[in-house]
Parts: sequence; structure tokens; C-alpha cells
Amino acid sequence: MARRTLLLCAGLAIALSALVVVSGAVGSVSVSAAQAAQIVLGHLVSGMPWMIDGSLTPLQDQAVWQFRVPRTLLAGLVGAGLALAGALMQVTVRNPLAEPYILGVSSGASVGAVLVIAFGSATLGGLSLNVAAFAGALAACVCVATLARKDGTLSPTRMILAGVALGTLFSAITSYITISTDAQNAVSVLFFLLGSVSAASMSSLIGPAIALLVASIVSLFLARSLNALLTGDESAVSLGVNASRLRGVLLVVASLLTGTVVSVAGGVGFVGLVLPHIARIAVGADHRRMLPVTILGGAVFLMSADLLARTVAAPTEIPLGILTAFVGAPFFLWLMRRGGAERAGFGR
Amino acid sequence: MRVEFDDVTVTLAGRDVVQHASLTAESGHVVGLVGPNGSGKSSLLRALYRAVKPRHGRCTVDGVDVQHLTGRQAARAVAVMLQDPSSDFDLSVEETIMLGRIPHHTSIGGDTLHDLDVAVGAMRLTETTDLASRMVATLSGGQRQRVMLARALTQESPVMVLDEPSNHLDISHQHELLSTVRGLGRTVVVALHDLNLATQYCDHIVVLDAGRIVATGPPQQVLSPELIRATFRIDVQVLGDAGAPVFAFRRLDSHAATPSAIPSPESSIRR
Repeated sequence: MARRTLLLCAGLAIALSALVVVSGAVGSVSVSAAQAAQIVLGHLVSGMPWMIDGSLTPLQDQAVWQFRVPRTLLAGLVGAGLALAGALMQVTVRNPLAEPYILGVSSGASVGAVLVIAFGSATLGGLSLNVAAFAGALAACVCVATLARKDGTLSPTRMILAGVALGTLFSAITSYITISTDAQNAVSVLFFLLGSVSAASMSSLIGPAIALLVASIVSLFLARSLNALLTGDESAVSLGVNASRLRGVLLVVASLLTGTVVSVAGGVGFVGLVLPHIARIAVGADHRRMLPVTILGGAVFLMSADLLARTVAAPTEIPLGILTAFVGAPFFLWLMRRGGAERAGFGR
Repeated sequence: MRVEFDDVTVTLAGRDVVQHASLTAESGHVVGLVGPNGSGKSSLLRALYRAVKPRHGRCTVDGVDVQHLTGRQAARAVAVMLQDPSSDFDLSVEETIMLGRIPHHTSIGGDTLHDLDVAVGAMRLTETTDLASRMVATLSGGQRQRVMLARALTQESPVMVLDEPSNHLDISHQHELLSTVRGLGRTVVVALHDLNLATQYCDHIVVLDAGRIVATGPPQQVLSPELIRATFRIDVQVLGDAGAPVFAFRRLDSHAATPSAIPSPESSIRR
């Protein structure tokens, strides 16, 4: 199983690099795959001859390096981040139906984003959409944690119930504002709710990249303890793992990661729920193996989805959230019905 | 290592489920806790492995209060074989047994050769080697209990806590398990329902009733028919010779216990 994990991770890493090049070559400005690779390499390593010999037009360079690459990288970061946050949430509340948004993080972010869209950044003291969305996500997370806390411990059931109830409340607020605002704004709101990485720039990658890096390191260090938490609080305690404290740490890590991602890319669905399950089907539930596969798999999945989103109906773009569900759901159902799914606990 | 419960009171939801319990398990001894349902056996054990903090008193291992240890230190000293390894995400038998190595590691990294050696040894002792790649959810209750024992053994702790370790096992595996545990030479505190097993495998018996310790001592002194009758409300007959007594149980005469408000079937037929 360890060998299988290594091979799978290597394969996913190769797919990831290939996707960067392919997505650099696809679009209205014609660029060949070789040229796309040259442009990416040329920006990463200085002194490459093809960057100055005039074989690439400024338009090609701009299309690849300022639009297509940031966009696909953001898709990768968002996919990896949501998949990891989903895996962490599932073990935190010990429920296979958990996903990054279960504690109301995305609903909170939506309220922040919708306020900015409907009333304009200026009325809210110059607050940008991203910052407002992040603030909304954090506010939701703090509310849930406060409500779920009792006698100094976070109970999984209380966390889920508080998250679902608050999420419903926030969604109602979002819907009300959406309905009362102009039709033009309503479309923007819908686009935010469905998720998109089309506004990506190199600078928009920084936040999600840092959040993903920190969350990945923390969760890989905690991987053994996460395994203990899977078997229940009592069992975790008997193995020397403080279940309640660990749950608190996971809640903070997963919420910050989700909040950062959602504030940049909106509410991309499906990835966070399903990628962790796909990883478990592939390599089992041991977090030391399933977390790397989840992270890389999430990146590859969403990069592919975004590539499809901007090509299948070109020049129109399909919102990312629609595509992830459209492609992902049948694929996941096929995987679930296949043999081998009992490794993820689907045998019962 | 010597285990001591010193005047332990455990309170759950405002109710004292264990009251002023004191007992000692000498190093290498097997101490059995017996008592009816709800007598406080599990709660007393939970105080030792820190799943619950006593409201009063302390549990010590080698003279050190377990509450003063870190989680990992405590788990290296005391391993627990829990009643049921439930999980919504299934682990394989091998992965479950390897969980026992968690307290011996600080962070990331693979399993060392020693980790694997210990796990393999534990699997051999518990006859779970053939189950290694199975998912825990597909096992029978008895197989799961053997896996849970293997996990506890893999923790390599000098003290072991077993809470009802044999309720799903067939009769031969019940004896197998307890003689394996006894043969380890570790200090063992075990909650048991079966008084015959308790008599046979324990050095020392502690009888609990309604949260209080009502008797302690060597099995044959403590488990007298009178005490069993009073504690378990069951009629008992001692069979066999004095060396290895066997208990046979029968319901206390219901007519004597509860004056018959409901006529028994036979009496109604006779009428």
C-alpha cells in the first residue's frame, strides 16, 4: 500500500505539471504546447534564449503567463485546499458526509461577498470582496465553535448541528439580499456562489498558497493522531491523543484554509466532499497515505475541471461549481459501485 | 508496575458512579473487577486510562498520578483494550493494530522495524495474522476483540486495562485470551462478567456494587456464595473441589423474591 501511494502521488504530480502546460496552450490566442512550456520555463529560470529571440509574441506571453497559468494554478490550489479541508473536517466530526462547508464557512463567506456585491465596496468602507468573504467565513467559524463548545469540549454532533443551523441562517440572509438587489448584481452573486477562478492573477495565488502549505504541513505532522481520532474519542485518549484539543486545532486549520480559498474562488462544491473518499478508496483510510493523495488529487481534479469549464462551451465559460458536479458526481458513483470501495468503509 | 487507586470518586452527570474506591494491583498481578451492570467497573477503569478525571482521589502507576503525565506518557504506561472499535471510516486490521504505536512516535514518518516486529508478535499471540488485510468492519465480534487485544499489546505498556475483553469470544478463545494476558507478566486490571473466568485467571478480585467496593481479596476467599447472592441477586452453587471451584447459577426463587402478583403459567393451567 505504501508503494501504491508513492506511485499514485508521482503520477498525480506528473499530471499536475502536464496540466499547467496544456492549459497554457488552450485558449483564443493560439499558443502551441511547446511554446507554453517554453514560456512557463522562461519565467521560472532566467536567461532562457527563447524569451528574447522573438519567437514568442508579447500577446502569447501575456495570455499564458498572466491569464492561463495563474488561473490553472489557482484552480490547483483551490482544489487541493478544499480536498484537504474536507478530509480534515470528515475526521474532525467523524462523519463521511462532512465537507469543508459543513460548519457554515462558505455560507458566512457568501454573506460577506454578497454584501459587497449588492451595496458596493465604497459603502462598506472600502472593503474588498475577498476580505469581506474571508471575514464572513471566520465569523461563521467562530460562531459555530462558540455554540458547539460545552464544558470545554467540542462535540462532533453539536458542531454539525450548529454548522447546519447557522449555515441555513446565513443562506437566508444571502438569498434575501440577492433577491432585493439589482438583476445585474444577482448574476454576480450566483457566479460567486458557484465558484470561479477566472479572476486569478499571480498575486491572488499568495494567500491560498500560504494557507495550503501551512495546513498541509500541520496535517501531515498530525497524521498519526488523525488515525487515532478516526476510531473514536475514547480510543484516541487511550492512545495518548487529546481528542478534544486535536479537534480544536483541526477546526481552526480547516476553517482558515476554507475561508482563504472561498474568499478567492467562491463556493466551489463537490471537491471537498468527494476527493477524500476517492483517496480512501485508492489507498485506504490511513492519513499518512490518504492526505498526500487527497491534496494532489484535489489539485489535478480542479485543474482539469477548470480547463473543461473554459473550453467545452468556449467562448462562454461554465461556472466551476457546475462542472465539478457534472463531471465529478458520475465518476464518483462509478467508483463507489466498483470493487475495492470497501477500503473507504463503503462496504457497510 | 504497581497500579493504585487511592480513594477514587468518579462523577458523571452529577451522579457518583464510583465512590471512594481504593485498590492496589501489584506488579505483574491480574486484578479482576466484578460486579453487576452499572456497578462502576468501567468508570473505575476509565479513571486509570484518563478518559475521565476523578472528582476526588487519584490513580497512580508506579507511584505517579496518571493525571500528571502527558497523554503520550500515559499511553506508554497504560494500554487499553476497549469494548468496541467502532469507526465510520474503516481501517484494516493491520492499520488498527499499528495504531498502538502512536504513543511511541512524535510526528510524521513511517513505521520502524521495531514497530513492525511488535505488531507481528502481537498478531501471532492473538491469532490475527491471517486477518491482517481484512477491514475491521467485516470481522465478527470475537475477531474484533482479538484485534483490539493485539492493538493494546502493540502499545508495549507495562500496565494493561481490559474492559469486558471476552464477551464476544467463544469459550475456547475466552480462555485463550485470558491465559495469554496472564502469561505476559504485565500488570493487568480487567473487568469481567464471567465469575468462573475471574476465579481461574485473576490473582485478586475486587467486587463492586453500586459504585462501592464491597469485597477484595484472592478469588476463592472473596467469591463466596453469600456474597454472590447478595451482589448479583442470583442463586449459586459451587461445584468441583476446593482447588478449582466452578460456579453454577440459577435464578433466585421468584416466589420468595417477589410475592406473585402475576400467576405463573403452571398454576393457571392447574386451575
